[in-house]
Amino acid sequence: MNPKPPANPLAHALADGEPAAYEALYQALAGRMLRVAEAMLGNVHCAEDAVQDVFVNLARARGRLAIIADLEAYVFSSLRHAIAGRAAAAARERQHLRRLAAGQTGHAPMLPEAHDDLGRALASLPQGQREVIALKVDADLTFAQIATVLQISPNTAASRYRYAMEKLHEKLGDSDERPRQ
Amino acid sequence: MNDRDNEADLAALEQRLKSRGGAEPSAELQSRIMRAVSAELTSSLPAHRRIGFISFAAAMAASLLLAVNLAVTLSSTLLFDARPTAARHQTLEDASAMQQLSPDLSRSEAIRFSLLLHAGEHLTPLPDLRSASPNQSTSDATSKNERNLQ
Repeated sequence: MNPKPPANPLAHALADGEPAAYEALYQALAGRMLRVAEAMLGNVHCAEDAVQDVFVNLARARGRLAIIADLEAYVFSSLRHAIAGRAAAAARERQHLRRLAAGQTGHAPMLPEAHDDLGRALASLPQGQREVIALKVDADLTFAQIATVLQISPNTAASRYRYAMEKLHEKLGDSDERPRQ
Repeated sequence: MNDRDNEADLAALEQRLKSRGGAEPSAELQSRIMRAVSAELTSSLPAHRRIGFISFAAAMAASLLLAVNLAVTLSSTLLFDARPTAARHQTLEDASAMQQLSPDLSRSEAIRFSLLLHAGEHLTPLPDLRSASPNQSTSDATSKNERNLQ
Protein backbone atom coordinates (compact mmCIF):
# COMPACT_ATOMS: atom_id res chain seq x y z
CA MET A 1 0.00 0.00 0.00
CA ASN A 2 1.36 3.44 -0.91
CA PRO A 3 1.72 5.80 2.04
CA LYS A 4 -0.41 8.92 1.83
CA PRO A 5 1.67 11.98 0.85
CA PRO A 6 2.24 14.37 3.76
CA ALA A 7 -0.07 17.37 3.83
CA ASN A 8 1.58 20.54 2.54
CA PRO A 9 0.71 23.40 4.94
CA LEU A 10 1.49 26.02 2.30
CA ALA A 11 -0.86 24.35 -0.18
CA HIS A 12 -3.60 24.30 2.45
CA ALA A 13 -3.06 27.96 3.27
CA LEU A 14 -3.21 28.78 -0.45
CA ALA A 15 -6.42 26.80 -0.77
CA ASP A 16 -7.86 28.78 2.15
CA GLY A 17 -7.08 32.00 0.29
CA GLU A 18 -4.60 33.43 2.78
CA PRO A 19 -2.73 36.35 1.13
CA ALA A 20 0.39 35.65 3.23
CA ALA A 21 0.61 32.20 1.65
CA TYR A 22 0.66 33.72 -1.84
CA GLU A 23 3.37 36.09 -0.67
CA ALA A 24 5.38 33.11 0.60
CA LEU A 25 4.89 31.23 -2.66
CA TYR A 26 6.04 34.29 -4.58
CA GLN A 27 9.17 34.58 -2.46
CA ALA A 28 9.93 30.89 -2.95
CA LEU A 29 9.29 30.48 -6.67
CA ALA A 30 8.93 33.80 -8.51
CA GLY A 31 12.63 34.11 -9.36
CA ARG A 32 12.86 30.64 -10.87
CA MET A 33 9.52 31.04 -12.62
CA LEU A 34 10.62 34.31 -14.18
CA ARG A 35 13.88 32.79 -15.44
CA VAL A 36 12.06 29.84 -17.04
CA ALA A 37 9.48 32.13 -18.62
CA GLU A 38 12.16 34.45 -19.94
CA ALA A 39 14.14 31.52 -21.34
CA MET A 40 11.05 30.29 -23.15
CA LEU A 41 9.57 33.60 -24.28
CA GLY A 42 12.77 35.58 -24.83
CA ASN A 43 11.19 38.70 -23.40
CA VAL A 44 11.17 39.79 -19.77
CA HIS A 45 7.90 41.69 -20.01
CA CYS A 46 6.04 38.72 -21.48
CA ALA A 47 7.70 36.54 -18.84
CA GLU A 48 6.42 38.79 -16.06
CA ASP A 49 2.92 38.64 -17.52
CA ALA A 50 3.08 34.83 -17.65
CA VAL A 51 4.16 34.68 -13.98
CA GLN A 52 1.29 37.00 -13.05
CA ASP A 53 -1.12 34.77 -15.00
CA VAL A 54 -0.01 31.79 -12.93
CA PHE A 55 -0.56 33.52 -9.58
CA VAL A 56 -3.97 34.85 -10.59
CA ASN A 57 -5.01 31.42 -11.87
CA LEU A 58 -3.81 29.80 -8.64
CA ALA A 59 -5.93 32.23 -6.63
CA ARG A 60 -8.91 31.68 -8.90
CA ALA A 61 -8.80 27.87 -8.72
CA ARG A 62 -7.42 27.70 -5.18
CA GLY A 63 -9.88 25.02 -4.08
CA ARG A 64 -7.95 22.28 -5.83
CA LEU A 65 -4.58 23.26 -4.29
CA ALA A 66 -5.27 21.38 -1.06
CA ILE A 67 -5.07 18.03 -2.84
CA ILE A 68 -1.91 18.75 -4.86
CA ALA A 69 0.87 16.31 -4.00
CA ASP A 70 3.78 18.35 -5.42
CA LEU A 71 3.00 22.06 -5.29
CA GLU A 72 6.23 23.07 -7.05
CA ALA A 73 5.58 20.77 -10.00
CA TYR A 74 1.98 21.99 -10.15
CA VAL A 75 3.06 25.63 -10.24
CA PHE A 76 5.53 24.97 -13.04
CA SER A 77 2.87 23.04 -14.96
CA SER A 78 0.64 26.10 -14.68
CA LEU A 79 3.56 28.24 -15.80
CA ARG A 80 4.04 26.01 -18.83
CA HIS A 81 0.43 26.61 -19.87
CA ALA A 82 0.71 30.33 -19.22
CA ILE A 83 3.88 30.46 -21.33
CA ALA A 84 2.12 28.63 -24.17
CA GLY A 85 -0.72 31.15 -24.03
CA ARG A 86 1.63 34.12 -23.98
CA ALA A 87 3.77 32.66 -26.78
CA ALA A 88 0.69 32.23 -28.97
CA ALA A 89 -0.36 35.82 -28.27
CA ALA A 90 3.15 37.10 -29.00
CA ALA A 91 3.27 35.12 -32.25
CA ARG A 92 0.00 36.68 -33.37
CA GLU A 93 1.33 40.12 -32.47
CA ARG A 94 4.59 39.53 -34.37
CA GLN A 95 2.67 38.32 -37.39
CA HIS A 96 0.57 41.47 -37.29
CA LEU A 97 3.65 43.66 -36.96
CA ARG A 98 5.32 41.84 -39.84
CA ARG A 99 2.31 42.48 -42.05
CA LEU A 100 2.32 46.15 -41.09
CA ALA A 101 6.05 46.48 -41.65
CA ALA A 102 5.93 44.61 -44.95
CA GLY A 103 3.19 46.97 -46.12
CA GLN A 104 5.31 50.00 -45.26
CA THR A 105 8.89 49.03 -46.09
CA GLY A 106 8.75 45.64 -47.73
CA HIS A 107 10.91 44.08 -44.97
CA ALA A 108 9.94 42.15 -41.87
CA PRO A 109 11.22 43.65 -38.62
CA MET A 110 14.11 41.92 -36.92
CA LEU A 111 13.29 40.06 -33.74
CA PRO A 112 15.54 40.70 -30.71
CA GLU A 113 18.48 38.32 -30.69
CA ALA A 114 20.64 36.92 -27.93
CA HIS A 115 23.94 38.74 -27.51
CA ASP A 116 26.19 35.86 -26.42
CA ASP A 117 26.98 32.58 -28.16
CA LEU A 118 25.33 30.54 -25.39
CA GLY A 119 22.11 32.52 -25.74
CA ARG A 120 22.19 32.15 -29.52
CA ALA A 121 22.82 28.40 -29.25
CA LEU A 122 19.96 28.03 -26.77
CA ALA A 123 17.62 30.05 -28.97
CA SER A 124 18.44 27.80 -31.92
CA LEU A 125 17.31 24.65 -30.06
CA PRO A 126 13.80 23.27 -30.66
CA GLN A 127 11.20 24.40 -28.15
CA GLY A 128 10.97 21.03 -26.37
CA GLN A 129 14.71 20.92 -25.76
CA ARG A 130 14.82 24.52 -24.53
CA GLU A 131 11.95 23.73 -22.22
CA VAL A 132 13.61 20.76 -20.53
CA ILE A 133 16.85 22.71 -20.09
CA ALA A 134 14.98 25.66 -18.60
CA LEU A 135 13.09 23.41 -16.17
CA LYS A 136 16.29 21.68 -15.05
CA VAL A 137 18.72 24.58 -14.99
CA ASP A 138 16.60 27.68 -14.36
CA ALA A 139 13.79 26.12 -12.29
CA ASP A 140 16.14 23.64 -10.56
CA LEU A 141 13.48 20.91 -10.68
CA THR A 142 14.21 17.21 -10.22
CA PHE A 143 13.66 14.84 -13.13
CA ALA A 144 10.58 13.49 -11.31
CA GLN A 145 9.14 17.02 -11.16
CA ILE A 146 10.06 17.71 -14.78
CA ALA A 147 8.30 14.47 -15.67
CA THR A 148 5.18 15.69 -13.88
CA VAL A 149 5.30 19.06 -15.63
CA LEU A 150 5.84 17.58 -19.09
CA GLN A 151 3.61 14.54 -18.46
CA ILE A 152 6.30 12.05 -19.38
CA SER A 153 8.23 9.43 -17.40
CA PRO A 154 11.22 10.49 -15.26
CA ASN A 155 13.54 8.38 -17.46
CA THR A 156 12.28 10.13 -20.58
CA ALA A 157 12.76 13.49 -18.86
CA ALA A 158 16.36 12.60 -17.99
CA SER A 159 17.20 11.32 -21.46
CA ARG A 160 15.49 14.30 -23.11
CA TYR A 161 17.58 16.65 -20.95
CA ARG A 162 20.80 14.83 -21.78
CA TYR A 163 19.98 14.88 -25.50
CA ALA A 164 19.19 18.60 -25.34
CA MET A 165 22.47 19.33 -23.54
CA GLU A 166 24.41 17.36 -26.14
CA LYS A 167 22.71 19.31 -28.92
CA LEU A 168 23.54 22.56 -27.16
CA HIS A 169 27.12 21.43 -26.77
CA GLU A 170 27.30 20.60 -30.46
CA LYS A 171 25.90 23.98 -31.43
CA LEU A 172 28.38 25.75 -29.21
CA GLY A 173 31.18 23.70 -30.80
CA ASP A 174 29.93 24.68 -34.25
CA SER A 175 29.84 28.35 -33.32
CA ASP A 176 33.37 28.14 -31.83
CA GLU A 177 34.70 26.54 -35.00
CA ARG A 178 32.93 29.04 -37.28
CA PRO A 179 35.30 31.92 -38.17
CA ARG A 180 34.22 35.20 -36.65
CA GLN A 181 33.65 38.06 -39.07
CA MET B 1 36.34 12.12 -27.20
CA ASN B 2 35.54 9.45 -24.63
CA ASP B 3 32.47 9.25 -22.37
CA ARG B 4 34.25 10.75 -19.39
CA ASP B 5 35.30 13.83 -21.35
CA ASN B 6 31.78 14.14 -22.67
CA GLU B 7 30.32 13.98 -19.16
CA ALA B 8 32.76 16.62 -17.98
CA ASP B 9 31.88 18.87 -20.92
CA LEU B 10 28.17 18.55 -20.23
CA ALA B 11 28.67 19.24 -16.53
CA ALA B 12 30.72 22.32 -17.39
CA LEU B 13 28.05 23.44 -19.82
CA GLU B 14 25.36 22.99 -17.15
CA GLN B 15 27.45 25.04 -14.74
CA ARG B 16 27.86 27.72 -17.39
CA LEU B 17 24.09 27.82 -17.93
CA LYS B 18 23.46 28.10 -14.20
CA SER B 19 25.94 30.89 -13.74
CA ARG B 20 24.46 32.78 -16.67
CA GLY B 21 21.78 34.12 -14.34
CA GLY B 22 18.72 35.85 -15.64
CA ALA B 23 16.09 38.35 -14.78
CA GLU B 24 15.31 38.77 -11.08
CA PRO B 25 11.77 39.72 -10.15
CA SER B 26 11.46 43.39 -9.40
CA ALA B 27 9.68 44.88 -6.39
CA GLU B 28 7.20 46.44 -8.79
CA LEU B 29 6.34 43.00 -10.18
CA GLN B 30 5.76 41.64 -6.69
CA SER B 31 3.37 44.42 -5.74
CA ARG B 32 1.56 44.12 -9.11
CA ILE B 33 1.08 40.37 -8.71
CA MET B 34 0.01 40.62 -5.06
CA ARG B 35 -2.55 43.30 -5.97
CA ALA B 36 -3.97 41.05 -8.70
CA VAL B 37 -4.03 38.06 -6.35
CA SER B 38 -5.79 39.91 -3.54
CA ALA B 39 -8.33 41.29 -6.02
CA GLU B 40 -8.98 37.74 -7.19
CA LEU B 41 -9.24 36.45 -3.61
CA THR B 42 -11.72 39.11 -2.53
CA SER B 43 -13.80 39.35 -5.68
CA SER B 44 -14.72 35.75 -6.32
CA LEU B 45 -15.78 32.58 -4.66
CA PRO B 46 -13.39 29.69 -5.28
CA ALA B 47 -14.21 27.91 -8.52
CA HIS B 48 -15.01 24.63 -6.74
CA ARG B 49 -17.61 26.40 -4.55
CA ARG B 50 -19.20 28.08 -7.58
CA ILE B 51 -19.34 24.73 -9.34
CA GLY B 52 -20.68 23.15 -6.13
CA PHE B 53 -23.53 25.64 -5.92
CA ILE B 54 -24.33 25.34 -9.63
CA SER B 55 -24.42 21.54 -9.46
CA PHE B 56 -26.57 21.69 -6.30
CA ALA B 57 -29.05 24.04 -8.01
CA ALA B 58 -29.10 21.84 -11.13
CA ALA B 59 -29.72 18.72 -9.02
CA MET B 60 -32.55 20.44 -7.14
CA ALA B 61 -34.18 21.59 -10.39
CA ALA B 62 -33.87 18.10 -11.88
CA SER B 63 -35.38 16.50 -8.75
CA LEU B 64 -38.26 18.99 -8.76
CA LEU B 65 -39.00 18.35 -12.43
CA LEU B 66 -38.92 14.61 -11.85
CA ALA B 67 -41.26 14.86 -8.85
CA VAL B 68 -43.76 17.05 -10.75
CA ASN B 69 -43.61 14.74 -13.74
CA LEU B 70 -44.25 11.68 -11.57
CA ALA B 71 -47.13 13.35 -9.74
CA VAL B 72 -48.81 14.41 -12.99
CA THR B 73 -48.31 10.96 -14.51
CA LEU B 74 -49.70 9.21 -11.43
CA SER B 75 -52.76 11.40 -11.13
CA SER B 76 -53.62 11.09 -14.83
CA THR B 77 -53.07 7.36 -15.32
CA LEU B 78 -53.81 5.78 -11.96
CA LEU B 79 -57.06 3.79 -11.76
CA PHE B 80 -59.01 4.42 -8.58
CA ASP B 81 -60.84 1.68 -6.82
CA ALA B 82 -62.51 1.29 -3.46
CA ARG B 83 -60.45 -0.29 -0.75
CA PRO B 84 -61.71 -3.69 0.40
CA THR B 85 -63.53 -2.43 3.46
CA ALA B 86 -67.14 -2.49 4.54
CA ALA B 87 -67.85 0.64 2.48
CA ARG B 88 -66.53 -0.86 -0.75
CA HIS B 89 -69.82 -2.24 -1.87
CA GLN B 90 -71.58 1.05 -1.27
CA THR B 91 -68.84 3.00 -3.07
CA LEU B 92 -69.09 0.82 -6.17
CA GLU B 93 -72.87 1.02 -6.13
CA ASP B 94 -72.74 4.81 -5.95
CA ALA B 95 -70.27 4.82 -8.83
CA SER B 96 -72.65 2.72 -10.90
CA ALA B 97 -75.49 5.07 -10.05
CA MET B 98 -73.39 8.04 -11.16
CA GLN B 99 -72.61 6.31 -14.44
CA GLN B 100 -76.28 5.68 -15.02
CA LEU B 101 -77.03 9.33 -14.40
CA SER B 102 -74.14 10.45 -16.57
CA PRO B 103 -73.27 7.82 -19.19
CA ASP B 104 -70.30 9.88 -20.48
CA LEU B 105 -68.53 9.40 -17.16
CA SER B 106 -65.85 6.71 -17.28
CA ARG B 107 -65.81 3.93 -14.70
CA SER B 108 -62.58 5.16 -13.06
CA GLU B 109 -63.87 8.73 -12.88
CA ALA B 110 -67.16 7.53 -11.39
CA ILE B 111 -65.28 5.55 -8.73
CA ARG B 112 -63.08 8.55 -8.02
CA PHE B 113 -66.11 10.80 -7.50
CA SER B 114 -67.74 8.14 -5.37
CA LEU B 115 -64.63 7.88 -3.21
CA LEU B 116 -64.55 11.65 -2.78
CA LEU B 117 -68.23 11.60 -1.88
CA HIS B 118 -67.70 8.99 0.81
CA ALA B 119 -64.55 10.67 2.05
CA GLY B 120 -66.63 13.75 2.79
CA GLU B 121 -69.14 11.76 4.80
CA HIS B 122 -67.16 11.98 7.99
CA LEU B 123 -66.47 15.69 7.92
CA THR B 124 -67.25 17.28 11.25
CA PRO B 125 -69.56 20.28 10.93
CA LEU B 126 -68.15 23.40 12.56
CA PRO B 127 -70.36 26.24 13.70
CA ASP B 128 -69.76 29.58 12.01
CA LEU B 129 -69.19 31.71 15.09
CA ARG B 130 -68.99 34.96 13.15
CA SER B 131 -72.53 34.65 11.82
CA ALA B 132 -74.04 33.33 15.09
CA SER B 133 -75.47 36.09 17.31
CA PRO B 134 -77.86 35.91 20.35
CA ASN B 135 -80.58 37.90 18.55
CA GLN B 136 -80.57 35.72 15.49
CA SER B 137 -83.38 33.19 15.36
CA THR B 138 -82.84 29.47 14.76
CA SER B 139 -84.79 29.57 11.54
CA ASP B 140 -82.52 32.34 10.18
CA ALA B 141 -79.44 30.27 10.97
CA THR B 142 -80.93 27.19 9.34
CA SER B 143 -81.77 29.03 6.17
CA LYS B 144 -78.27 30.55 6.07
CA ASN B 145 -76.69 27.11 6.45
CA GLU B 146 -78.84 25.81 3.61
CA ARG B 147 -77.71 28.70 1.42
CA ASN B 148 -74.10 27.98 2.25
CA LEU B 149 -74.52 24.32 1.40
CA GLN B 150 -76.17 25.17 -1.89
